Amino acid sequence: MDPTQLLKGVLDVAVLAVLREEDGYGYDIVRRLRAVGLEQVGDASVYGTLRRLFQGGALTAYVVPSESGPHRKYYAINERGRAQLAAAGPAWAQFAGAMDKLLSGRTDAA
Amino acid sequence: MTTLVDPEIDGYHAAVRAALADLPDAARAELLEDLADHLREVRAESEGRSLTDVLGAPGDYAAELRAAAGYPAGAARRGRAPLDPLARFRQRSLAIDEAVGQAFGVARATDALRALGPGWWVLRGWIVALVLVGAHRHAHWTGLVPRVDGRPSAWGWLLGLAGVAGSLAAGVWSRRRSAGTRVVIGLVSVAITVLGVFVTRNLFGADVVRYGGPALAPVAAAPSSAAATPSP
Repeated sequence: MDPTQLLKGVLDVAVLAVLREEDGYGYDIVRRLRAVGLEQVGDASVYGTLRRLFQGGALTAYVVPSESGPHRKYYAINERGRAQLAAAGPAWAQFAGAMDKLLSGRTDAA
Repeated sequence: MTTLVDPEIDGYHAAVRAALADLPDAARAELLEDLADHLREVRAESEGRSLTDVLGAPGDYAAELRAAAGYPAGAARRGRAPLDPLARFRQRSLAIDEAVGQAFGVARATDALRALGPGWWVLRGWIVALVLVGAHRHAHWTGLVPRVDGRPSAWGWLLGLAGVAGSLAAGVWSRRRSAGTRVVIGLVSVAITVLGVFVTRNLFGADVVRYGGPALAPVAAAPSSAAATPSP
């Protein structure tokens, strides 16, 4: 199966989790997602997701002036974002556990 | 060097913007906010691959962006695209640029042309000097070194070198200007070259005739008739 299809549903959670570690700007977040193994993540999907999370009030943004280039817009997770991430954790664990069982054929054994 | 205007980035940006044309202004501005910065970073890391190679076609990029941001799929994807003519022209010329460039083993043809720029500037300066002496009524066209009053002299070389220096300065200066300014300078250069070919060729013809006949008067007349020839 095309991993990009799988990614779509969980990109919100992935972006929030990356920002929980440290604030970041768009391309920096793309790089950090790829660094942990989500290599198929599309640049445009990440930028779009950041926009939507920001609009939805899960992120705050601030501009950092740079000496060697354009000013950058950094995103930071806020309380609402943390709550969203906290709620997603157990849901993801349950979903991933169920998929694991299904794919390894252990449904009856459990 | 990242401060230079990059036609590939401009073209890609314009095409993404065009594909988002149906969105309200505020929504589009928001989606495009980081795009130029993003494209510059991708380009800096692309190792010679084009933006389309790395990111996909601008239309697909725009579709992914709007879908992830939660906006409905655009009218531009459904049928008659309201792509403005300028964006379409840019997209098309970018495709040609890449196709020609890849035939020669580089990402884009304009990259190769840009690398040849300084050589062209030297040649252009020398041609300008030749045109200057060629336009002089008593000039003799006797070679590729500009001659003042028909005699080989240090002045001719000096004139040539001054032309080259001026041309190099103009070239370096123009690289820091907008694409529009560069186009104007390019057109002026081509016009000078064409003029130079006309003037020198006609002078050369007059020279050959002069060797056959002793008259001084036709020599003086030749440049003025030469000047009249190119104008329609």
